[in-house]
Amino acid sequence: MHLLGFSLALYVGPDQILPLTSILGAIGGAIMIFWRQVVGLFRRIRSVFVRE
Amino acid sequence: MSLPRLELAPQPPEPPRRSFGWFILAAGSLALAFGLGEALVSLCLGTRQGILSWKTGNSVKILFAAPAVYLLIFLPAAVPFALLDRTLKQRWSEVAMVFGFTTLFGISVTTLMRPWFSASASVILGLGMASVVSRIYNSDRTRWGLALVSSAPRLAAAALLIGVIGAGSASVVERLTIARLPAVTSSAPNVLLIVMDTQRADHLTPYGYARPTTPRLARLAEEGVRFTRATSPAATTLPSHSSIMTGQLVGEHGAGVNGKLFLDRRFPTLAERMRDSGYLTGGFVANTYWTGRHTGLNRGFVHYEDFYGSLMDGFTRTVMGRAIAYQLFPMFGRVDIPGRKRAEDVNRELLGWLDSRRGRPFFAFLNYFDVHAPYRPPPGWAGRFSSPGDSVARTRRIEIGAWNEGTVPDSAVLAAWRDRYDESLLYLDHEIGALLDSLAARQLLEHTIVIVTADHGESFGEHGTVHHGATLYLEQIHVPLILWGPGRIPAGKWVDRPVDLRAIPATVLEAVGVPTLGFHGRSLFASLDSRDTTGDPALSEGPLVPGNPPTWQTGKGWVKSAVTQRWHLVQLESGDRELYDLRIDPAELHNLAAVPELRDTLTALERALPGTFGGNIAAGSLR
Repeated sequence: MHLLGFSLALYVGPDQILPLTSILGAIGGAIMIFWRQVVGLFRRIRSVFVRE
Repeated sequence: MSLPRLELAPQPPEPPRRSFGWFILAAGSLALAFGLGEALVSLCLGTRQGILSWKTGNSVKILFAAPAVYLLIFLPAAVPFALLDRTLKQRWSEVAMVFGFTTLFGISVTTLMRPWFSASASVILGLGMASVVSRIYNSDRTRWGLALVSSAPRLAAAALLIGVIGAGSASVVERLTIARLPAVTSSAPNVLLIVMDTQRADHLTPYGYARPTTPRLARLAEEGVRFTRATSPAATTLPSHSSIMTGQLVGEHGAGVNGKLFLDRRFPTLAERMRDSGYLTGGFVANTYWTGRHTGLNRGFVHYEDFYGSLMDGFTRTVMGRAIAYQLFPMFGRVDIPGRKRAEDVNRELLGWLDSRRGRPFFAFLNYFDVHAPYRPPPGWAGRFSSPGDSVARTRRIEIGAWNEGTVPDSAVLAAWRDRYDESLLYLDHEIGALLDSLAARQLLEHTIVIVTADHGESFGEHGTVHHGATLYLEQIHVPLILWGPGRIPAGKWVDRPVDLRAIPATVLEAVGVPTLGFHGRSLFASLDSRDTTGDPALSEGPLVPGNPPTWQTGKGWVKSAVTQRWHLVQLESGDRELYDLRIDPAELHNLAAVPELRDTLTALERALPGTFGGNIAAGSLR
């Protein structure tokens, strides 16, 4: 297990950071664009679990 | 029955229709705020090496430039929005303007963060930021519209104040640094290190070129020492300059290796040692892509002039300005590097600095960028060696050189490239002469040691390559090297022994009487001694450059090279080797690596090759 973690740590470098942060950034950007829809969806999901 | 919540919410009153002046003032406010924003983000990112890319380096002058460029773009862009507002019944024009300008700003600042965000992520983030801002704006247009125009004077004052403080602080830091320099003897000579970016040796008159490209350098060589077999440690600018400054092999300092596009702080630089010995150290560079302060090559210089050599360069220091200049200008036939700093600009900066900083010996490092692709001699110099045809501009894009596709054009274009290259060199030679004359007029030249060299050569179709950074054949690494200094350097001497530019720090330090500890051991003064028979080969390295054309050797792996008086070995990461006998095959056309009688020679040369890349082949292969 330690070996796996060590191998993964070796694999992570600048070339791996770019796609990862780009995906996260794009998700963040999309959330900002569709903010109302995202909040509406969140409320709908929440209402399924929490009954007022 | 209850009404939906949305209908109960109080709606803000519809603001009055906006005037034309409102649009202009609002655009001005957004330009100043966003311009300052991009400037501050750029400066913050610049504090950490390796974040800003080769095109996005910057200095504190961005505090002035960015608001000005944003004003230049936003003010005319506001006019269509104002006209739309007058013609359309719907009132969405002002929100659209806020949305559009915020999108441009968002894309700009995230583009600066290129190690983290790809181009498409930048666009989505920019649109996201604009969505949030325009949603807030739209929630109360009366209030935000008023705030936008009323803040314009305050933003203008803030931009001016921040710019003045920023620019002034650089001057104060320089003065404080000079005041703390240790004492130095008055007899210590000045040192002028001239690096002609991309200058292959065999196009210079003192190196046997048939065209009279460099009459002034020919005179300098006659009065000094010329090294006929000098090679650069690399075939690209950053690694080569880093070796010139540190005396280390490329694989040791690591600048330009494995995507690390800067010189880190592990090794002392020549400028640091000179500064710590009491010298005024000034760097004046024209290839700002690869020698700007973001590369770390400014370390040790109390004064460094890189960016903002012209108004156009100031324009291209912003993301939007750069996009306009590099994408739009070529469509109208302008294929030169926008804001290229010419030799006369570099000279003016140096002389201006020397005039304002007297009383100490100086170490000045100049990087001239005039012969670099795209080959565009200044007006008046084109056509000196042939007709001033424009075959250089065969494409509608800016061909910076090593970072383009690298396909070899037909022979007519290659011939035109050579003509323009030589004409640019003729201009550069003239300017170097003008600089030396100006130093002489100030009574500085007689106390100055001048070193003229280049960071690498240039291919014009040899070995199936163009530009540089592709291979380590001689056309890409054989560079001029001339030492000159009345009373200190012998006159009229030719040195045929192979040397490489890692020797420069030790040479300069030995010349000015400063210990050479920590730098590459042998100075060039040792090579002047005809009894010296050490025969160390001159070494060069070419790191793998992901993105280089796969037809280039450096597009597939690292390359190493060793040059001796007779032989040139080129070794590739794949294990392929090429051996050339320079006495009978100076063009390196006949590979002798497979000749059994030369096995011992091959083995001896292989042993001499630097082992630095051997340990990081895996890392070097990362793409």
